[in-house]
Order: sequence, then C-alpha cells, then structure tokens
Amino acid sequence: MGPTLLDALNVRVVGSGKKFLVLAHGLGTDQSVWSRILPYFRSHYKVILYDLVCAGSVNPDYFDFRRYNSLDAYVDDLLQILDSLGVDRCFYVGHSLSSMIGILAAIRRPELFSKLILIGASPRFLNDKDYHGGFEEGEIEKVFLAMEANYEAWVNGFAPLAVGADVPAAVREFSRTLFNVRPDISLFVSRTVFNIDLRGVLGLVKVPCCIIQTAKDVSVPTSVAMYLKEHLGGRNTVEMMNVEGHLPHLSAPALLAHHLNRALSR
Amino acid sequence: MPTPVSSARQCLTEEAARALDDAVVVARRRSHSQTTSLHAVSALLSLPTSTLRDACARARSSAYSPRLQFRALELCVSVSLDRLPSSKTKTPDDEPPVSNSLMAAIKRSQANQRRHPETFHLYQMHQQLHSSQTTSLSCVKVELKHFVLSILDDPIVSRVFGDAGFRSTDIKLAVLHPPPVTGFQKSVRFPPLFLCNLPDSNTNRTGFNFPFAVDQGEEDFKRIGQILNKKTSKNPLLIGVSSDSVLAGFTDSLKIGKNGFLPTEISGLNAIAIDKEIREFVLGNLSEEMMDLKLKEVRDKVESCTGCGLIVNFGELKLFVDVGTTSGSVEHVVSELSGLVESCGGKLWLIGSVGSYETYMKILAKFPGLEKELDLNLLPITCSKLNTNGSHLKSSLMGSFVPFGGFFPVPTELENSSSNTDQSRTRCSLCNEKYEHEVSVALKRGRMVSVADQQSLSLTSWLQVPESDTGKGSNVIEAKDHGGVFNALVAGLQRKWNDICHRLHHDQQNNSQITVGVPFPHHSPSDPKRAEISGKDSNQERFRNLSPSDQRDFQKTQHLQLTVSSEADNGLSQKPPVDFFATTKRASTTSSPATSITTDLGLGTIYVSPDLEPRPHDHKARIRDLCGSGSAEVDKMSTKSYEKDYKALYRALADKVGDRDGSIHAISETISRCRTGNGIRHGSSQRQDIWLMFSGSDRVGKKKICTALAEVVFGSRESLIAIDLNFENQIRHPSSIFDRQSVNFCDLSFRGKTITDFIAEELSKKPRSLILLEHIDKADSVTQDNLSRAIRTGKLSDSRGRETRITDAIFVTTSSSSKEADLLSYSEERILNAKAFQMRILVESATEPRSSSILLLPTQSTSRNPMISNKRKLIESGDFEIMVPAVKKSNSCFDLNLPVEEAEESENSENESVSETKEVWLEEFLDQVDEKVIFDPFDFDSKAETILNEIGICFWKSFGSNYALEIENEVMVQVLASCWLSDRKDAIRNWIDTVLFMGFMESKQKQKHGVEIENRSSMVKLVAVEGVNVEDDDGLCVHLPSRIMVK
Repeated sequence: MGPTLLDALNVRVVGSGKKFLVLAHGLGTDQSVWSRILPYFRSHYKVILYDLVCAGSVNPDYFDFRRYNSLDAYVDDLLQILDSLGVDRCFYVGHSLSSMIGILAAIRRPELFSKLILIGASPRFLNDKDYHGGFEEGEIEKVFLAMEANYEAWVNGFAPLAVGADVPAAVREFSRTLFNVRPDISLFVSRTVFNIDLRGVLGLVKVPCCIIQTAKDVSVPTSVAMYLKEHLGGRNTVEMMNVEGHLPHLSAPALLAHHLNRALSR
Repeated sequence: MPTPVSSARQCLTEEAARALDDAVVVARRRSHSQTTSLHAVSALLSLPTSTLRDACARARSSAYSPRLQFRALELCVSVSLDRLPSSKTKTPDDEPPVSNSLMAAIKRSQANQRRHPETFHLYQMHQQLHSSQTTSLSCVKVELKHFVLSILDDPIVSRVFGDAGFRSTDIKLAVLHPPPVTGFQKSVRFPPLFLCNLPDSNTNRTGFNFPFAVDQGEEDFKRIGQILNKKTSKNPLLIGVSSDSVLAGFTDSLKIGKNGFLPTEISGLNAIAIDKEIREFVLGNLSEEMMDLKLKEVRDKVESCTGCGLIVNFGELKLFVDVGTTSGSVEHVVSELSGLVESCGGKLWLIGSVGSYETYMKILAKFPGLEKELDLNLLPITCSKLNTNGSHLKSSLMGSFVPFGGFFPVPTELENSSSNTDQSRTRCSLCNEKYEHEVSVALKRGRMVSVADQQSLSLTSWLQVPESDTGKGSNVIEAKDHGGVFNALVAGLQRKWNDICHRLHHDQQNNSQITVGVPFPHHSPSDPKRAEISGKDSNQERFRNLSPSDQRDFQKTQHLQLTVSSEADNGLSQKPPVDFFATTKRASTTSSPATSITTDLGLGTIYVSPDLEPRPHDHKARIRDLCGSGSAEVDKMSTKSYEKDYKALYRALADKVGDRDGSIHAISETISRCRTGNGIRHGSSQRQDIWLMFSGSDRVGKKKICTALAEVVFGSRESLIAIDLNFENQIRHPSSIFDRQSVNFCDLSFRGKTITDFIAEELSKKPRSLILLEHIDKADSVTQDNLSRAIRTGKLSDSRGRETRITDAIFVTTSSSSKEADLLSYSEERILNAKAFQMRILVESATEPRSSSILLLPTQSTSRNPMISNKRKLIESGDFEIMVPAVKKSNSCFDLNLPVEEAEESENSENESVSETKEVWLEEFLDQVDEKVIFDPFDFDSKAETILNEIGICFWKSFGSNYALEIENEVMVQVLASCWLSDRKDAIRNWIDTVLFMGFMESKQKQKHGVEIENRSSMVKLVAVEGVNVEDDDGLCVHLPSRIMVK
C-alpha cells in the first residue's frame, strides 16, 4: 500500500465547527500560508487544509509533468480529497492558482460548494484585445528566462514584489515556501498558469462567489476583479481590501480574516 | 580553488572514481587546466556500458533517429570542450585538478545520498568498512548514479544536452528509474509513486514510457474521450477561449490515427469535418444543395462505417449568432444536425466549440432546445494554447536547485531580541563620554561608585534612582569581581548608558530643560539617611535593615516630592509627568523591572550580563521581607499615597481636559487605586496594568482623556497608541476628519501583523504606554481571546506565541453606544462623518435652499416661505431667525455592493449567533475590567446653537440685516466637528470673528464692486468645496480653513 492522496497532499482537518471550510493555497506557497488566518476560523468551521501537488512540502516525485499540465488534474485532486473526507458541501477559499481550481471544481460539481471566495484570482494573466490581464507575453517570457537562469535570485527579487517589501517577515515566509518548490516544478506550473484562460467558462459557475482583491496586486489588476464579478455566473460580490500585495494572508492577516468572515457570513 | 584529483577521488565509490579518472584523462589529453563536468560527461558517454548513454537512449526524443541524436550530442560536447581554455603551463604529467563546479556536483550528490533513505544502509556499510580510515572530506562515497545525476544538474552540462535535443530532466529520470531489463543493480523496485498511480486514484495508468512528451492538449483529449464514451449527452461542446484550437488538434490527431487518448470502446473512431461547409453555407457562399450533399455524405459514411462510428466536427458555434437570422441557413443547419443525431444515434458523434459562455448563452437564446437536440455536453477548456514545442522543460534550472530549500531561517526569538537592541538609540556625546569614562574605570578595576549614580542625582525626581538602589555601583564592580567576564560588563555599561541617555536626554530634548525649571527637592548626598544607606552593601540587606519608622520616613519624602511636583505642574505650560509609578511603587514596594530605569538599576546586575531576564522572584522576596517587617505602616502609607496620587492625577487631568468632571474623577480614582496595589485583579501579584472601559458616546472626549492620561502618567502624548478595532472603518475617506484619529487595519504599521502582534510589538518597544482600543465590541475572535488572556495573566501573546509583559501599560477600551437620541439635530454619528473641506461664500439670487441646510433669516424679512419653515426648527436669536432643518430618521444604511435578496437569506441565523458570542465575551471581559466609566454624550445641539448665534452676529456685522444666510449642512457639521476636537474653548469663536468675518467682508466688497444686485431676494451662502481638503496644521482651528474662498 502506498500513501493515499490524503497523505501525499498533507490533508488536515482542524477546527470544531459544523460546516466545512477549505483553505487552498496558491502557487509558491503551501498550507502554512494560512497559519495566521486559521485561528479566526477554527472555532466556527471544520477547516480543511491541503497542499497542492506543486507545493514544496509535497514529495516532488508525485508531480507528474504529464498529468499536471492543465488545471483539470488539480481539480481532480481537490474533488477527490473532498469526496474521501465525505464532504457534501463546503465553503471554499482559494488563493491565486487555487481560486482558478475552485472555479473549475465548482463548474464540475456545483452541489459541493456553498460559496467560493477567491483571493487574488484571475481568469487570464495575459493581456488580450479588450481584456487587461496585467501581463504581456514578452514580459512573461522574460520572467521565465529569469526563473531558469537563477531561481534563487528570481525568488529573492519576486517575493518582496509580490508580498510588499515593507513586511520583511512575510517576505521571508513567502520566499521560504517559494524556494521550497523545486525550480523545474515551479517553472512548469507557472507556465501552466500563464496558459490558463478561464474567460470563456466563467459563466458556467453558478455558485455564489466573493472576489477579494487588494488595492494593489502585482499579479492581478483591479479591473480583473470587476471582470470576474461581471462574468461569473452566480451571485457575486467584490471585496476590496485597502492594502497592497498579492498575498494578503501574509501581509494583512487580520484584515483578510475580517473580509473572509464577512464574505462567509453573507 | 580547484581540488586535487586525489581528494576528489576519496569522495567517490570505485565505479565513480573510475569515471572521474576517465574525465581527468580527457582533460589532460586536451591539456585543459581543470577537470570539469563536461569532461566527465564526455568520459561517461564514451564508456561502452555507460549508465548515462543508456539513460540518454531511453530519454531521447522519438522525433530523430537515435544514431543522429547521439552524433549531435557528441558534437555538442566536443564543441563545448573545444571552447574551454587550455592550460598555459603545460605539465602533461600532472592531473588537471577538479574544477569547483564539478567538486560542487560531487558534494551535492554526497548530500543527496545522505538524505536518501534507500542508500542509507549502503552508507552505513561504508561507515563500517572504512571506520578505520576516515577521509578528511567526508565519509559518504558517492555512487556513480548520484554522481551522474548531479553532473546533469550542472547548467553547462544541461545546456549541452539541450543543444543536442535532450532534456536533462528526462535523462535524470531515466537514470533514476532504470528499465527492469537491466536490473543488475537493484532488481526489486516499486514503480515510482505518482499521484496517478496511488491506490485511491481513479485514473488507471501503468508505469511510464519515455520520452516525456508533455503535450498539454492530451489531457483535454482524454476528457473529450470520456465524454464520447458516455451513453447520453455524449457530444462534447468545448467551451473556452482556446477551445477551437483544442478541437482542431483533436480532429487532426484522429485523422492521422493517433488516438491513444480514447477509451478502448471507441478507439476506432473516424473523424469528418463539416465546419468549412457550414461556415460557407451560413455565410451564403454555398448553396443549400451542396450543403445537403455534404450532410448526405456524412450519413452514408456513418452507414458504411465498419468501426465504432464517426465523429462530426461542426466547428465554432459563434458563427451561428454572428450572421443575421434572415436567411434561415443557421436554422437549417441546426435542424439538419439534430436530424443526424436522431437518425444515426449510436454511431455518430458531434463535436464543436464555442469561445465563451456568453456566446453560448446567446445561441441558447436563439435555439433553446439546442443542448438537448444535439445531445451536447459542455467541456471547459482552460489552457489557452497548445504548447508543443516543449521548450518549457529546459532544465538548466536544475542547476541552481539546492536540495536544502527548507533552510530559510524562521523568525525566532533571537531575531526579536536583536531587533530590540537595535531600537536602543545611540548615546549622545555627553553620555558617551561618561560611558567611556566608566569603562575605563572598570578597566582599572577600582571600587569607585559609578558615574551613573552621580548622574542620576541631577535627574528629575521621576527619573531618579531611588536611594534604596544607589548601592548598585558597588554591585556592578562586585559582579565584575566575581563574574570576571569583562566583556559582559562593558556590554552592560553600554546598555546602561544607552538607557540613561535615552531616558534622560531624549526626554530633555522634548521637554526643553525641565530639570532646570522645576524645583524638585532632591535627596542630596548630605541627607544623613542617604549617607547612612549608601554605606551599605546590597539593596536587599539594606532594605531589611531599615526599621519600620525609617521606611515610613523614606516614603514620606517620596510623597513630599510628589506633592511639590504636582503643585509645580500647575504653573508650567510644559511639565514633567507626575510619576505615579515611582511613588506608588515605593509605597507598595512592588516593582516591575522592565518598566523603568529605577528598578533596572535596582537589580544591580541587570546591566552586567546582557541576557539577563528580569527576575520577579527577587522582588517578591523583597516585598515579603518588607511586608513582614511593617505591613501595617505600609498599608497606611499606601492609603495616604493613594489620596495624594488621586488628587494629583485628578488635577492634572482636569487641567488638560476640563469639562468632564465625572469621568475624570472615576478614572483618576481607579488609576490611583490600582497603582497602590488595590486593583481588583491584582491581589498579591505585582501587576500594575490597568484596564478601563469607557462606554457611552463622545468618542472624541474619550480620546482626549486618553491623550491626557498618556501625557500625565507616561510623560508624553506619544505613549498613546490608539487602535480602532472596527473593521468596517477600514475604508477611509481621504478628507474625513475623524478617520485620521487612530490606527486601523489598513495602516502601514499593521502590515503582516494581527492586532495583538501590533500591540505586543508596541509594548515591547515602550512598555509604559496607554493602549486605546476603540470599538472593543467589534473585536474579532482572535483578538478577543488574546485580550481575555492578557487581562487574566498580564501577558499578551502574539500570533507566533511570544509573550509580552503588559504589566506597566494602561488599557482603555471603548465601545460606541448605539442608542443615539433621535431628537438631536446633530448626532455623534453625523459629526463623525465630517470632512475637512475648504469653504466658499457665494451670493446668489434666492433659490430654493437645500432642505438640509440651515437658514439665518432677518427677523423683519417678508419673504418667509412656509415650505421652508415647515421643515425646520426655529430658533429666535436677536436679529435673525435661525432655522435648523428637522431631523429625518435614517438609521438604515445599505451596502450597495450587496445583492438585495441576500440580506434575507437564512445565513443570518449564523450571523446572529456570532454576534451573540461576541456579546457574551464582552460581558465576561468587562467583568474583569478595573473600572467602567460612562461618558455623557457631547451636547452638539446647544453647541450648534451657540455657534449659530455667533455666526449670526458676525453676519449681521458684515452684511447687515437685509440678507439671508444659508449655511450648508456639511459646513455646520465640519464646524461642530472642529469644535468637538479642539482643545481650546474659544477656538471656534476666534475663527468666526476672524476668518469667517473676513470672508463675509470680502464677499460684500465684491458685491459692491461688481454688478449691483441690490436685490432683496439675494442670499448669501456658505458652502463646502468638495474635494479640496484643508491642510492639517493650517489655520486657527483644527480642520477649518484659514481663509474662505469668495466668489
């Protein structure tokens, strides 16, 4: 018997509430990124934490380059986790990559989700004719080249940019988890992420969504949040957080907890 | 520095060492100065039974012939070897030493192997074998496999492989997972664990086959296959921006017979595309007959089909909505397609694509039954492009991969302490001099009394070292004599002088030489008692030796000191804070070492060893000693000192805040009580933290009292840390007056921290602070828990679990009472929304005044509009009738962001339970608070009346009694807010008499000069200029403009 999926992805269920709350981390982090948020919810929810297969805390052998070349495999993992835990309905909080996974999971199994809360979500990172995703293709290639050339240097440059250089502790934390990811996996997943285009399918989401967007996010322009609100098929709200950074759970945990709480109780 | 070959060889197993020798031979033959990874690769490839060659053979891309690709590889390797610089000094006999990069690769593989459990036994075996002859470099012998792997990590090597069309990740995987046939190494191997072959995974795949062609479309194709294999709704409709390219890729690969992704049941599927015909037909370029012909062809094909069936690609659906519906061609196509599905059922599939859900909805609006008729199944396509060039797996990346990724330091206690020492500011030159002097004294090891003690004599009483502690100079020296570590002593001195300098000189800078101005009675060295005391050796002994009456005397002097100082206070504009700490501490002889220099010095040894923690036990012991000797006196004294404290504090507060007698009384009473050790929760412990709750309204009043408290008790306004716990207040209006008042979540200082983190950090910087927590009723659960624990234990733990002592702080919590008197024209809620805008005076012909604004009408005015007066409250005042708009009750505010129907959802019940638990918590929390002070609401209405009267007089003086004045509501709110915030009572009157009057006069002048509109019905208006903010420290009165614009 090999390890099960629950073991492989370090699935944890903590908290004493009745309802399930999934906290799904984004690219370059692992479930530890939620540690500052978790205390706010463990008394009211059963919180499900897990690592994406691309996280540094997961055995890199599990990362099948053939399988994880699109988001569907990640969605498979998520749904399988929920099924094996016997979850029939849950709240889902997803950050960046995981917000996309949540969107696709909710398309496939709408009955499973009472609400999606998407932090730093983007259906498409690259700019298009009448869509501003925040990145030009050329820029991306440069980023990839930089990642390939010297991963460590790239991490050290990118982390303060993403988190906000004014929070050294959070930058350290993010750099740590980002650096834990094997560079080839990190690059591969980044390519996958930049290839994703969910714009056409957003309408298929019928689950109510709450989009949490920080005032300044290097990866996601504010217009994207409005795009999501307009195009997602359910009842949607946008919560603007008056802080900077792509990782509010590291840089502004208390505030994010409040926003999550509000989004969850609505 | 390159490593000699011999020592590199020691790290390798025999097999690997042979490979290294070969590499050295290659390097020598080419007369290169060093042996690099490239040489190793060249050597490894040339071996006939090479692991590397074997791995390459399995990992190579199938696109080229193996012979060709190996030839390319050899070429690439030799070309890169040619580029290497040859050694200048030709010593053909020497072995070229191992280059740094190759050595690093060896070290990497050592580390890797050590971590690898499967080789652990080997490693142990080696250990046993070679236990006698331990090598200097390491005891792990690198196996050939690991050697090869880490060489492949070298960026130069992987580039060479890349040039030859190999991916070094593939090769590495091939090296790691040798084919079962060549199982001469370790034959029993489990298949590698990938998620897809975990036992509970539902995908069934068997093992691996190299090459690792990463084809992003393949997963999509597989999903398409799964849909095709269904019984119902088996016709996939790909949806997504790049769905058309996936569709094309899918049908193309079916055409060339590549169908590995299809389930076996339908593996023989044939594809036919009719998308071009449909397009042409819909666009009108193809006749209906031709279209029907094509469809007939499809039908025939299905019937004649021997395999499992036919899949018909009908292309992009967007076309269906793009063209006009007039021709009816779209309808024709749809009906034909559904006819096909109906008639040929089992053997025919349809496939198509649509770019976006919006388009699909449009199509559905046109053909509501489409999904059913065509038996469609939506499949989201999420990848934007089929990236088949594979360049994304270039693995030069691996070169920089360090397998110790987890080694980033987690923030630790240590770091915290070091950052704390960073906060100690550098000494000023004076203190530095003295510090240096003291170090030199310490160097001489003379038993001299520390200069610091002499220095302390000239301090103000509130900084002064109590006599009981002045023996510490000898303590320092003693400790040095005993401890003997000179460095620690110097560090201690350094810290001491930093502290002294910080306390004394920094405060002095702020308070402009108070030392000189205030005639504090110092305990001069000539004081007989002091002389007697200072002769003793240690504090504790000395204290014990004091007779009860001595102690009382001693305390009396302290009280005297206090009285004098507080009396002296009244005469001075800038005064030193009344040191309640020092006095009360002495009275009860409890003390907290972290708080003040007094007690720091008292400990005597604290500066000596840098890592010394405050030792409460010592103090406890002291207290017990003292209590034993004369507790009755102490009690009496404490009551006495309490009285004094209370009076001094009350006077100081009243002087600053003025008109809030009741609250000040209660507050100073509580603080004095707690400081003298009679707080409810303190008992025998030495906690001095005070918790107050300010309820009721008047947020500004509470804030003012806190500022005053901070100033009086802790010495400066900066000791007040105000935090607004109400998360709803996070969105601030840039021009709002009140939002600037306290720190909130969005504040930059909150980055990366929770509320508790923030408080803890501030308190560790400045333990003697007043923490104002506004809207305690809105605190989140985590903050609640932390506060509860803090009030219980006197320690505040942050999110990392670190504890901060709070025993010297004062905590003030406030809550806003929701019950506002509805009858008031100006509720606190309204005033809190005030904005600091510029103002402007206009003269206009009378129009209908805004219903919210205030009117000042001349009493003899004939133009009384009943409509206006109906809705307004009338105040007669001299020459004017002041009409204040009546209040509309508006207590509900809608969040426009919220869909309306959600408000009535059942989720509300949960919300209620949450707010219920909050209430329960608040009740429990408030039970532990030292005192609850209820604040009366600020009487805005009577203030408004006074202000309007004054404005009326001012207006009459400038314009006379013929004009009516309209004051915009925003202006009035702003003036009231300013009045509320202002520390000086006559500030508003001054502003009216000068600024406003000037404005009126200027406006009148302009009227005279300009077009004469001496019209009875013209009206003067005082309005706010939206968007133009008043500078903060500008003008006579806070948040009011210093000049009014006139138009």
